[in-house]
Amino acid sequence: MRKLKTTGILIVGVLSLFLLPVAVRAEVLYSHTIPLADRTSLVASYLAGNDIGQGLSGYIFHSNFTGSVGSICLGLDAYTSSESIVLDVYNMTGEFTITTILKSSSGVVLGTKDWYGANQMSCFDFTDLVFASSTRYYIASNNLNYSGKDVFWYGKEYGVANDVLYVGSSDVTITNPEILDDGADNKKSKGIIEINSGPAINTTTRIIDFDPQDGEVINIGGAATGTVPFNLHAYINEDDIGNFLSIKVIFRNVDQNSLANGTCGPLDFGLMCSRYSFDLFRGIATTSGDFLFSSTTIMAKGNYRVEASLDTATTFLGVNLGFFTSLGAISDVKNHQFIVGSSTFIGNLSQTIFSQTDSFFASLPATTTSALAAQCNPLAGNFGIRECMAFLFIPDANALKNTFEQFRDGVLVKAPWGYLTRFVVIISATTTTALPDISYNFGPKGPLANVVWNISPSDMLAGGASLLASTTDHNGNTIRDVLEPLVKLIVGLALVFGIVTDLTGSHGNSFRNDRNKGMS
Amino acid sequence: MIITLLLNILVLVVAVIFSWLPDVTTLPALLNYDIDGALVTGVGYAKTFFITFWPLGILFQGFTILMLYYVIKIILRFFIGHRAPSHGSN
Repeated sequence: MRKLKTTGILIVGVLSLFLLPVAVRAEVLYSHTIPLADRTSLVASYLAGNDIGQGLSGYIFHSNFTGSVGSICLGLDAYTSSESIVLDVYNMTGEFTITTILKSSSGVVLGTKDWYGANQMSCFDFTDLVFASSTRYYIASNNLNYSGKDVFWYGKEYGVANDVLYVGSSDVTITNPEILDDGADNKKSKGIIEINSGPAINTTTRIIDFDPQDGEVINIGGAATGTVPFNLHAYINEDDIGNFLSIKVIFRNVDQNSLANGTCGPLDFGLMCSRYSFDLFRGIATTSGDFLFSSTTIMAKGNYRVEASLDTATTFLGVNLGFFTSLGAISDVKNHQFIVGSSTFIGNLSQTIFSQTDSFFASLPATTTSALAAQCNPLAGNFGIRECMAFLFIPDANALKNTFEQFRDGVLVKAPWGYLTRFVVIISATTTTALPDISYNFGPKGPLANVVWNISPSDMLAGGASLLASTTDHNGNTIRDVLEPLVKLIVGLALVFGIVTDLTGSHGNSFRNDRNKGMS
Repeated sequence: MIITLLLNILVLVVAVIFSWLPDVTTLPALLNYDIDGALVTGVGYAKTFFITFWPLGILFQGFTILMLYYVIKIILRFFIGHRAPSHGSN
C-alpha cells in the first residue's frame, strides 16, 4: 500500500509539472515582438498634388506596413507660429478620394516664426493611430491653410533630389518626394516627413479587448431584461495560419438571480442555466490580422462575468499538449465583469472577490525583482506579507514557461525517450494537411469513355462541416454545441477510469490477491 | 521565486546528467521509409478529418492523454524501477 501511495504521489507530481502552467492562469504564451530594426520597411509616396486636395496642404502617405504610429513630424512653413494646430490623418478610398478622419493629433504648438520654415520640424503626437499595410492615408491640417495665407508644407532639404524619410532610428530614401501644390502660388517644394514608430507592435495571437468592459453597468431602464452588446477584437499572427483556432465566449450569471423559463439559452440565465457559451470561431485559421466580432445578447438584470478565450493548443481535461510543440501553445483568457440593470448583494460580493483575486494574480508576472524586494522588506513603507509570500512561493508564469522549455529542450528531446517525445509532438500538433484529391479515368470504352472524375475529399469534408453547422436547435445551438460537452464527459470519465484502474490494478483483483498473500 | 529556483536547479541538474545523450529531432527511417514524415502527414490528414467529425477528434485527444500517461509511467519506471506502479500493461 505504501508503494502504491509513493508512486501515486510521484505520478501526481510529474503530472503537476504539466498542469502547473495551466493552473497559473495558463500564461504560457508564444510571444513574438517585432524588433525595431525590422519595423523600418516603410515607404512613403508623395504624389504630385494637382489631382487631389488642391487648396489643401497635405501628403498622401502610402503605407506598406502594419503598425502603430506614435508621432508624425513635418517640415512646416512658419505662418503658424504660436498657433496650436491639429494634424489630421484621413482614410482614403481608391487612389485619390479622401474620406473620413482616421485620427487627429493631440495638438502641437509650433516654435519660432521662420518664413520658409527651414529646419522647422514640428511633431504631432498621436494616440492609437494604426496604419494598415498597402493603404493610403491623407495627412493634412486645415488649420494650416487659414485665412488664405500662403501656407504649405516645406521640406528642410528643399531642392534636394531625394529627400529622406525618417522612420524610427533608420532612414529610407525615397524618390520624387514632391509636395502637393498648395493652390495659392503654384509652388512645389520638396517635402520631408518623419514618422516615428509608436509602442512596440504586439503581433501575438491574442484577444485584444472585448465589450462589455470590466466594471461596466448596462442601463436597461428598469426593465427585467436588456440588450447587451458583445464586441470582441482579436489578432491572429501569420504564423498561426493553418493551425486550429478556437475563440470562445462564456457568460456566467454570477448571482444566479434570474429565474429560468425552463430553457437554457441567451434569453435565460436561470438557476439551472447560469452559464451560456458560444463559439465565435472554431476551425483552421486561414488569414492573419485583426478580427472583429460583434453581436447582441438579451440578458436578465443581474451580475455577470464574461470570459473570452482564444486557444490554438490541443487542450483536453486541462492538459495543454501544446507544451511539447516547438512554438508552444496559445491560451489567452480574459475576464470582464459587468452588471445589467441592478445588481445583487451576492453578485457584488462574488464579483469583488473575483476582481481582487484576478488582479492579484495578474500583477505577478509584471512584478520586478526590485518590487519583490520592496514588498518583502519590513522596513519599507509598502511592506505586504500577503504579496511577499505570494511572490516568494507562487511561481512566475513566464519564469515557469522558460523552465519548462529548458526541460523540454534539454531533457525530453534526449534519446531514447526523445523518440516518445517526438511522437507526442507529432500527434499533438495542430497543423492540418489537405487531403489528397482522387482522380478516376473511365478509360477509352463505354458511355463514360475518357471521362475523368476528380474527387476532393477536403471539399466534401468542408461541405459536411458547414451542413452540420447549419443544423441548429430552437436556441441556435448546433449539434456540436449540444453534444460536445457530453462526448467530452464520456471520454474524460473513460480516461480517468482507465488510468485509475491501471494504477490500482482493480481489473487484476490486486486487493484480493494481496489479501490472499496476507492469509497464506 | 523559491519554487522557480528549485525547479530551475532540478532541471539544470537533470539536463547536465543527460547532456551527453544525442538529441532526437525526427523519428528514424525504417528500411528507407520516412516514418517521421509519414506520421506528420498522416496526423495532418487526421486533424483535417477531425474538423468535421469532431467526436473522433475528442477520442483522439483522449488517446493522446492516455499515451502521455504511459510515457510518464515509463519515465518513472526508468528512474525508480520496481517502485513504479506495477499494475496494468506497462
